[in-house]
Amino acid sequence: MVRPEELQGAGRACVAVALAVPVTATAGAVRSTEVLPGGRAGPAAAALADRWEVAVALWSADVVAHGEALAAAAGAYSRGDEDAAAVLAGPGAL
Amino acid sequence: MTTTLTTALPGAAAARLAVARAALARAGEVLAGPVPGWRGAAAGAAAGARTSLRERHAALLADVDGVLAALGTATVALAGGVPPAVVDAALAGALDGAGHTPAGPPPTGVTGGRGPEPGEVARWWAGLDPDTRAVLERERPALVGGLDGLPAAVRDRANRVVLAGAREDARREEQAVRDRLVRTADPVELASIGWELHEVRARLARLGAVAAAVDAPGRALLDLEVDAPADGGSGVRAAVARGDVDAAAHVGVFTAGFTTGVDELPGRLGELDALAAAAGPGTAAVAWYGYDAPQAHEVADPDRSVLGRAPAEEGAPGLASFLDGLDAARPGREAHVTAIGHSYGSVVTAAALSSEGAPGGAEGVDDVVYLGSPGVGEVPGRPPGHAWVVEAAGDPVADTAWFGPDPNRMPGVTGLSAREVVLPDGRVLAESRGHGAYLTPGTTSAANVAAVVGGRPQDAVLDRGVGAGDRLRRLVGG
Repeated sequence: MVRPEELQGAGRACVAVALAVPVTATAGAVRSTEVLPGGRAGPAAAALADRWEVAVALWSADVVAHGEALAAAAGAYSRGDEDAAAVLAGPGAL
Repeated sequence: MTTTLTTALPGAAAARLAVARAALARAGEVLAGPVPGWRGAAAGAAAGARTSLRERHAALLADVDGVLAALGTATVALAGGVPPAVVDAALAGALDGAGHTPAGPPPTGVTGGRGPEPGEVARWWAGLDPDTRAVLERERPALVGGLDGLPAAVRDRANRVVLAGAREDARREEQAVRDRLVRTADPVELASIGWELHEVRARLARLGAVAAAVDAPGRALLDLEVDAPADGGSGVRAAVARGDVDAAAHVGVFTAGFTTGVDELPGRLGELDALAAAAGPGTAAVAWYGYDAPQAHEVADPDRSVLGRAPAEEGAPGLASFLDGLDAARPGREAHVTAIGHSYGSVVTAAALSSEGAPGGAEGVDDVVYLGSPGVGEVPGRPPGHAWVVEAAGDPVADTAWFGPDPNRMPGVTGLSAREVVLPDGRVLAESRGHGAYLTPGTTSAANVAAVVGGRPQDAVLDRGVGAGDRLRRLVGG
């Protein structure tokens, strides 16, 4: 038994949380780390910060997309479209 | 990437990282448990996507934990008198080894509906580092291209990538279907494959029309959705702008009606070019084909019929989100936005402006113009002086009042002329006749719509456009 309102709520929660993720916080915490001036740890920390910022941004963007897919599927169910799985497949199948 | 000038020792970095980790961990809680309220086969794909996101989240946290441990070790080592050069080398090695968790493929793109609140999207985007934005644009073009509230240039670039990929996929699919066709002798299978071929060629043609529409200077592909083959095969929705909607002082957004689709985008853009030129400098116009307009063969289908509101109610949230996204993408310097709905597109437009639908109608629209409208419900969507209607002679649709009172007779709605008009300088604006010529360049109707879009309603020629159909309705009490 599908409950579209719960599905939609879950989708909206994903979108709200993902858009509020402090994308730069994890990266920012390590970016300027240094043990000694001119050492290797400083550049390594900056490079890691770049990688983390991208990783967290991609993850949060994908949670937005997941939430959108859930909400779209809920809408399809509400309209009586029992084939809402196709909505979930969506453009991601391109 | 942004670089701060202040350096931090490992201990201070660890303290900050612990706080950031806690916030990231909390965010992941939204994915805990199965997808609520969903059972059965359709839940499988959602569950898979959710599991993948949970695994990536766990991997991110594990990565952070590893760095936290390395920072802690470095802190203890420094306090214990280990030479800084040794600690530096060890910490550098640990940091070099972190942050390599693969992101994985995108789960899905945004698929219709209202979508995230455009203001939140705009704020989220503004908070990202430019390099991170570039990565998102490159790695997640379908998502970025579909998010209302992002800058038009960003969406255009992303959607063009999606368009190119979709066309390539469709070409490959067509070739594969043709290969199967020539190897088949069974009549039943031939019919089935023939239908597949029809579907994929229809999709190719629609994608080609979108490509043709954006293949001109100043055009921007602001939205693109392509149904997966499993979802009907040929559905393509798009929004194409002429002019820069992020810089224009005036933006008109046209929504089409019954039997329309992206096939007509190239021709419609030509009309909108003329409309924007007539509206004046600093005007952009958008052809919004972002909903599945009802088609002739769907008249008997209650969920899809042009005689019902279902297609409009399904399309309205997406239009409302798109309209709100125009202003959200340019906070503090909003444009004068006019929504223009033709025929059934006026029903969609009115529904998008209505606050009855969750979670609320488009708020950033300043004026609305209904062309050849079969009715827009009980209220015109904008206050007097900002709601307009054009009814041409010989337009039977505009007299039906099928979806509520005839807007042409509705209080608070100002009628714009579609008749021939001789201007004071001697120029003649032509009459529009019938249902399909409201935006034909050189007509009074098109000039009037341009005046409203350009923020010069005082230049419009007013006329209720009451014709034989209206008089007949009055006689019969309609």
